Amino acid sequence: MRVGETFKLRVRRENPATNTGTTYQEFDIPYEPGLTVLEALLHAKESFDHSIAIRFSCRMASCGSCGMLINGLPKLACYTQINETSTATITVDPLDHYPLVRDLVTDFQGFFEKHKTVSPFLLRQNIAEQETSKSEYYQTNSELDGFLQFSYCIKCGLCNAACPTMANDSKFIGPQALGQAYRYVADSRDEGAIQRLKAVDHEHGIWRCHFAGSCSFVCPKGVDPALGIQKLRGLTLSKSSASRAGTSLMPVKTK
Amino acid sequence: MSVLESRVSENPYEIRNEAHTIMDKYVYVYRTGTGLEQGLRELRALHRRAFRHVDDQAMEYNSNFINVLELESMFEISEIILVGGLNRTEPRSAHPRADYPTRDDEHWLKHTLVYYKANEPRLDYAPVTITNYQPTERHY
Repeated sequence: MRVGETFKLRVRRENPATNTGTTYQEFDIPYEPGLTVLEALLHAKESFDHSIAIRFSCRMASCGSCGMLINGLPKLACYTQINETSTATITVDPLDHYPLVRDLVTDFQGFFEKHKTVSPFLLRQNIAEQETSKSEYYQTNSELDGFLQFSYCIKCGLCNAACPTMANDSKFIGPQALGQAYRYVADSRDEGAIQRLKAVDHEHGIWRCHFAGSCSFVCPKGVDPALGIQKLRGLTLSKSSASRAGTSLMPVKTK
Repeated sequence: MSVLESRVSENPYEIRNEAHTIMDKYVYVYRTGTGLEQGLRELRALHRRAFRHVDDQAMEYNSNFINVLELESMFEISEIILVGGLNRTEPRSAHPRADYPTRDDEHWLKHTLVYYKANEPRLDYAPVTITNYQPTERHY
């Protein structure tokens, strides 16, 4: 596509509160190099129809607000350029597996509730020490490498929208929260592994995943939640022997 | 009449872009007294335009409504920046005045306070509390 040409942006419109059904609205958007789907949507909102509902904030793939289906795939609108898509018409839909608020805006309340169930913060046995700590908790580079990629999660929820298991089981904790469970379990500064593994060891937890891997495929930040879930399974299976030995759940380094 | 019922016709998003252009032209990196005065005139003229209306009548996730309210606030904040900068006849950190090249601690080592008043903001000043670090001239 060249400067001066226009392309069609097809936007799904729906307001469940007014029960007016689903329609698609088409806009002709002028192309320019580097134009993102979010900018195209804002152009449509500002110039053609002020009532399009879009959620966005940072415009640079760090807030995780503008997740939507772009030509059927879960993507961040701000992180997807028009020239990445090969079709003449670009269709945008709200994310799957979330309740619809309106147009492209979905409700993340349940998503964040599931995220909370895995205690996504450092847990220490000695809480008084943690609250009054005089220095940082040290960590080697290789210890950091063990979980670093999982800490890039921005809670955009694309993985849960891509997950086929989320489609079948609304109670499934989902790849986002499970990936974050692993992020803290694998952190050498954390001492809450047993509590966290217990929170995911049930029929709507790690065992429900059937390893389609679509969560890892769509993650815009390079997180591999599917890997995290497999690691959680391994750790859960070795949990009893590890707790008997009174050692860390992470593989013990031999000197 | 509330902004939701208003039926004026100018596109608030275009007005917002024009406000960006004015602020960018006169209040961005280098400032002068005449530039700030011109900016203030243009911004106030723009503020009087008929943009206060909301096309989106939905009660759910109505960002059009928020955008119009935000634009009104942007005008107030922009005016505060312009008036505060116009009064401060010296350069200081992010306020370089091309027409007053030397910092003036004798008159201007003080905070600008701005209060809401109908028509134009009211200015006041407060002394600076200096603790560990003495103010010195910046060299680059």
